Amino acid sequence: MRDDLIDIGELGVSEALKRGATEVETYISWGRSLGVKIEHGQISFSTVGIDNGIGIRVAVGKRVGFAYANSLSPDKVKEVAERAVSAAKASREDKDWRGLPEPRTLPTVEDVFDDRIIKMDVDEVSEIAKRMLDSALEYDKRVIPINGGVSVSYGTVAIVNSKGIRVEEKGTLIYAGLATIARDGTKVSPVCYETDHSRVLKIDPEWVGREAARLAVEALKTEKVSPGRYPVIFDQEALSELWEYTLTKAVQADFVQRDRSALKGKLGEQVASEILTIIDDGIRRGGYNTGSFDGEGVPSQRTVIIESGILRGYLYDNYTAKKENRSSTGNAARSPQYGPVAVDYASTPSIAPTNFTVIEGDFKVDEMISEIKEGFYVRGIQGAHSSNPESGEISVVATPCWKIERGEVKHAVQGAMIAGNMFEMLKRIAGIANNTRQFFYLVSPWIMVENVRIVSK
Amino acid sequence: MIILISVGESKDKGDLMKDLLIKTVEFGQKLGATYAEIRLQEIYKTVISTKDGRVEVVTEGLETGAGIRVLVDGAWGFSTVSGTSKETLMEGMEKAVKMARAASKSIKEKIELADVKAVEDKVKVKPKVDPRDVSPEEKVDLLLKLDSTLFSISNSIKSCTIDYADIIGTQYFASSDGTYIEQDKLYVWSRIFASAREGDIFASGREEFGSTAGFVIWRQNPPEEVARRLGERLLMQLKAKTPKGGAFPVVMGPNVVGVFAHEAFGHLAEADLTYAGSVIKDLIGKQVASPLITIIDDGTLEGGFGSFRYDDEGVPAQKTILVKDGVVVSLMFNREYTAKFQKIVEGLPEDIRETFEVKLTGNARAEDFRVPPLIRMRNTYIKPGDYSFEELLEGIKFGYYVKYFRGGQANLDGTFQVGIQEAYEIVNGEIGDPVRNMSISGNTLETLKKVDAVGKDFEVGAGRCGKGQTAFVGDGGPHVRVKELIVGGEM
Repeated sequence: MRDDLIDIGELGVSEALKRGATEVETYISWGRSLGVKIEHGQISFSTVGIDNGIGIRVAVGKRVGFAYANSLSPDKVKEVAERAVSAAKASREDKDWRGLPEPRTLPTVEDVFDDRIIKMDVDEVSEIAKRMLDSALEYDKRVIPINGGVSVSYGTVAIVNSKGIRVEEKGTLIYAGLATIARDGTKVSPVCYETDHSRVLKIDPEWVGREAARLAVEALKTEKVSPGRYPVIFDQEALSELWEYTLTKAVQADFVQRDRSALKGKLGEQVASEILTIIDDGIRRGGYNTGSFDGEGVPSQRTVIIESGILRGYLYDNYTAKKENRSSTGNAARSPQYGPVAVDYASTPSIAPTNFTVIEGDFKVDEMISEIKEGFYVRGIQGAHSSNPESGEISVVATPCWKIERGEVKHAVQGAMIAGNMFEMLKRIAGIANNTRQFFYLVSPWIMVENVRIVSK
Repeated sequence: MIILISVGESKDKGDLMKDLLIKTVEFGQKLGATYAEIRLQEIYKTVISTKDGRVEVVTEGLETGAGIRVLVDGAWGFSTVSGTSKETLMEGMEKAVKMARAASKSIKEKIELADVKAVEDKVKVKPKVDPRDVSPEEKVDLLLKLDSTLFSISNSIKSCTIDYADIIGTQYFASSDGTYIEQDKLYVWSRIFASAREGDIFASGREEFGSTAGFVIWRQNPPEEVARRLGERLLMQLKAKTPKGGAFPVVMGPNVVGVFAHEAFGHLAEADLTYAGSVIKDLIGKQVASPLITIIDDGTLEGGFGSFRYDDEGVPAQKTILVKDGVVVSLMFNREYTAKFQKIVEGLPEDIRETFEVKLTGNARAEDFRVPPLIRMRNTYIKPGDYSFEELLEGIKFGYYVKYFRGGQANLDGTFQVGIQEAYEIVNGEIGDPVRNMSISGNTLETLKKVDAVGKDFEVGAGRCGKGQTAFVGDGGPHVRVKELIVGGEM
């Protein structure tokens, strides 16, 4: 680990100020990752990488520029500062620019760093991958673990700005994931995926392997279904896909301010079933996206989004918050999902949920299934990214997906489509289970929605 | 005009780089690597983002680093480093060998590579309008022109987000097979998201274009024209009806055919995914589609967003026919999977070995030096046939014309989904009312068999493909008619 990131940040700030910037923010990150990959049922590849870089955002008056480089040497930092200032000068005035954030007291977060993860070597990571792989292979002969792996990563992020923010934090992550298919004669299951990830050294690779295998085997037997309206249980993977392109966008302040959100102007109104409560919890203990500050050095916090079905708040970064004379909710992220750059220091802040948390109900999963006469259990979604983020309209394939008949999961379904509107579906949530788990940004139990339109041939 | 021009040997900075890279590779061999490669990149990026007429930020990026990949005892090791000093590269090589050695402990089936011909070459780009010759101010002007034109079309238009990027750099590649390639890279890319709203009705649309031919792509897509195209689509969506759900005849436009060729079929024919068990695994050399269908993945298409001279294993890019008259005649390969399939075809009947060809196609691509290469598509398209657009519509009593896609995805079991942003009803052989919130889905192979007419027009567009890494690709084709596809909508 490096302990000089703040110093590098200070250098970036002073160099940019010297060159004519009126405000400066430096974002510095240093990270290392170690991974073992599984392909076609064997461990065949391991990788190691160090990445580090600096991103400098400057304002010259109300013109904003940004530059980055994957180097922390003083010469490069000076060059980046120079380029950021010249980029700003090539930009235009943004009348809504009201400055970088000011320092605030940071919360304490727990279980986001574990020394044991840093100390792991490639053989230990391999051993975990092997346990995951073996438990998938032992489950059933028809299972083919097509790809997956185990990785550990750790790093430090520091942010220094000319308003007095000087923050630094280290973090760790361990990830295990496996994608499988099952083949029986000419019959092929869809790809099934399971994962476990944790900020501290606490994962269950055998469970991942077994579950990925079980899903594929159980997805082999398919039957046709008739189109119609049914109750549907969505699990965490399906919800995370569907909400990534609809609900989480509609509660982002930039979408709201730019008239792109179906939830605009609905604060205090009933927008979902009264059993639904959602909190964006940036300080969740050990959460996938937990940190004491966000991508602008603003404190992380818990933000109530929906309380008993009533819309209570939106997610803000510094820019959108200042536009409304309020405080940022600490939702500035540094990794854009679809931009032309993919590393944190190379991107300017954009709004994103942290740990988007659905408060669980008291339904046991078994009870939830047993109450359904005829319906579906949807594990994965194909095509969620083609949803209409403004209207919430979706038209996607549910796969893997199983039919539920008379309270039992009967058989898998191939090619069933779900068509409808996510914001309408929120109002028809009829059950929330008690099996909370974190699936990347989403923390949720299973959710049952009534009257979902299933399209099939 | 040829964009990529090779020039002969010349003494310059490249010679120093060549020495350094070859020494690093030799060091890897000394440490026990049976194969070693290093791919060093220097990249400059200019990125501009505008939102609703304001310039959010102008970005300049500098990246220098190397990806080092080795085989030891039949297992892969990879390491990525920032910077290019001799010490950094040697240390990176040492780590890559260590990684491979660790992976080799549990290897069951050793990885082998197909033989390649050693290449020594320098590839210089000659862009039609170099993006470096266009000032950032001028680029900002173009984006703002597009933005203001779009908003002038209607008060219902509410938002416009434009991302522009140009990526320029040089890649130096050396491998223990004696290959050394210096290759310039140049990409110009833009994407526009826009939305409209009237009361509770929302519309959203996107446009994306990109090229390896230079900034000329902005001359081919004047901002006013892109704005008009997008604006009209948004207004149409606002008054459009939702589709009927069920199975209908569908005519796909070139933009949708492209995403179909890429998502629904292309991924199944990436040799690693075929090998993993995609539905065409047992169908190589066999008829999988209507005889009207020929599908090509072409790394040589002039200016194509997925075009390049050499792939990231130093193999020359090919124009690869995947499906010829409905028969799977090849796949997209890298060196590892060429070797794997050479073994597989040995055990297949004579007639299949005659139709199905296993050879290096040049499909190994890495997003950048941070990651190892994977099998990726380049420019994937369906070859044109001989129908006019009117002839394709003829005889359809009721169906849909799907013109522009929003997104698409496929699964190895052969199901695909393509979300559509612009679609129309076809009523009695003529284009009818616009339709919104539509997507098509089905089984790829069934759908390919149900193609009953292929148009004579042809268009290839630009896109990005995600497979853990992002790759710049092209896709397209002519208009294509399918007898029956599932349409997601009202029942």
